[in-house]
Amino acid sequence: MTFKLFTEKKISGFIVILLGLLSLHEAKTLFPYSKDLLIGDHVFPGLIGILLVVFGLALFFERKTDEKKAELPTGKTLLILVSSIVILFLYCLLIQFAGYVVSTLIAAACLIKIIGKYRWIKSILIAGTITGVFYLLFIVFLKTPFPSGIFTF
Amino acid sequence: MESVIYLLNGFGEVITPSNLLIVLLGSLLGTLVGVLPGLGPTSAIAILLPVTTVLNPAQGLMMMAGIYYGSMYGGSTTAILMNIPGESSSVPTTLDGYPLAKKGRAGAALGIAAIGSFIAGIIGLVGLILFAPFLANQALKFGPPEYFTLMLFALLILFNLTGFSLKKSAIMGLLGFLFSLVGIGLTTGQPRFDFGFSFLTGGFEMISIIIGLFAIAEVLKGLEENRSLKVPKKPVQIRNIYPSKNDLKQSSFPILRGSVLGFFLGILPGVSATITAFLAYDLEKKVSKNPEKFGKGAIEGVAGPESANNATSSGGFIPLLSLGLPSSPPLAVLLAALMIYGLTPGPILFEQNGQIVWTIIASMFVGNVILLILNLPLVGLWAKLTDVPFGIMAPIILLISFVGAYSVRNSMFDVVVAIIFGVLGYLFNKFRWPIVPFILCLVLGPKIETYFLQSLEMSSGKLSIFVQRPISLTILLLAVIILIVSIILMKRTKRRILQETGEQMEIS
Repeated sequence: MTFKLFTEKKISGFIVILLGLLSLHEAKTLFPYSKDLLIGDHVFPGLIGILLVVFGLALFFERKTDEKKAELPTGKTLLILVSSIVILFLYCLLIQFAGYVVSTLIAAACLIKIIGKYRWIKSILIAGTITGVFYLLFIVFLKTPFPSGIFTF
Repeated sequence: MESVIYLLNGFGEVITPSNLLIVLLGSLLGTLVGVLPGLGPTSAIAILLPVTTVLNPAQGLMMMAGIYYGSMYGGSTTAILMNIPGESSSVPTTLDGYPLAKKGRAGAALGIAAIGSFIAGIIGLVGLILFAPFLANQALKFGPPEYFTLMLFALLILFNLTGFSLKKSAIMGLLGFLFSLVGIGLTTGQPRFDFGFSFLTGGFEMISIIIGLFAIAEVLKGLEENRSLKVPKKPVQIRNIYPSKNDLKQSSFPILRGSVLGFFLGILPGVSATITAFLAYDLEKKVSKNPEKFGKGAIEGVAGPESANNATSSGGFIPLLSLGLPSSPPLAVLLAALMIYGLTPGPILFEQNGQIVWTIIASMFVGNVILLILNLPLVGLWAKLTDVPFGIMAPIILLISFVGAYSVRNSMFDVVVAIIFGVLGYLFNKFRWPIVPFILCLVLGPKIETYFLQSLEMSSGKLSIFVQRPISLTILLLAVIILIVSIILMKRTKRRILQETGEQMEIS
């Protein structure tokens, strides 16, 4: 019988135990502020911490292995997935400096190019339309206070 | 009688040009969301919630309710025309809906689905009017211990519903609780789980987590499946959109049976639309004189499950409005929406904000009529919308998610949270970790903690308070019975989904 350490259940069980311990630590920190063992802000972090550790251990040591193995994407698919997420994070940064219009145009064009695989010119045109419609809806109509950045529009 | 007067007043409020426009817009948006792959009712309500803040609470909630039931109608369109069940509750509709469409009777199937949904929706709403105020009145006798036991056991039953391992469901529920605890503590005012970071003291905004888990994760799933490279599946041609007299005759009893079954089972926590849709399908097959027709294009096989599905969705509003208990993720988002608008779902809702509640209920009647009138002529347009390439749809969903997450608190931190939860949602889906318990516990976590702490304050820290009070004890006993019934029903539904689709699905 072989013992595999890096299976889905072992990894997720380990993470759940860690989160449980974190919750227990927070309960311990909050306990001095409370008036009773079962009354106060520490009670739920404590209870949830205990249960997470118990369930985490149960998952870690579970023997049942009849589940289908999940396959993670590779190659081009992985590249598209990762780059889409990276674009969203960069959009969060860019919007603070460049403002809503420029950053949305750039983010939309990049996403359309990567996901839709259109030519750059077509991606930019579609992105321009989306940015315009969103500008009207969210900034003109709904008055959402997006950062305007270095540009004044 | 009182309810009828309140309802009539509600109609008076709804039938104004601006409110009718809101209901129309909500219903159409909902249908659009139901038809388009990649955006479900939960994410649509969550994304559009910030948009509705320019409206008054009644209008905002009317729109969101419209999106909810509109999407239920929309889901049947792709199930019948393209054999794509958007959600697990639409699987039974595909079994006979698609064969009917291939025989050139797509119009009849869509028409019966729309009529069945309409009748079921109306029956559900009548039930809501009769039961919700009564239940709310009874619930006024509840104190914190009763609410705590009720919510805890409703959650336990719902954990069983996800279709995956109970252990994983429980862990996900606990994680939902854990995230709901981040922020300022209820009794001491001390920050919890902030680790010295000021941006964590305000806690996590549940709407951004929901947007991440549902909308962004769904796009990532689509990217993995390379939906943008696939040629969209051509919907079957629709010739005549109206069902014949014979179709209507054949479907009348299945619609009634499905509606009644769906509604009464739907009131119980732990019985989802998927369970009732499958039960209705199997019931129709059992009572039919020609059971061999099922699976080859029996109109009863569309009428029964579609009605049950919609009646269950309407039934879900009863525990939501009268007890503050959501039975599914879209209703959990609606609960969050009610709270954002300053309303407290539960027995006092009918007393304190009766006018708004009855206006929303009246708007659902109007919305269902609008959907019935508009949906049949627009079926061709809805079918065409499924042709929108994923390469354009996906970036639009991602950008709307970004804006939606930002505009709740005008905070970039919430956007980052939405993106991170998008990735987590994708991984949860990949490794079959159910997100429904996570969402329900995230939304209900603060309420459960409040009721628990209030109960123990009342009993000076004694846990026995939960079994000493008669109502609380009764809820506990009932919960055990319902849990056993729901486990049996769940096993049956899982087996049926596996039989029909060959794969496991998260049950909604």
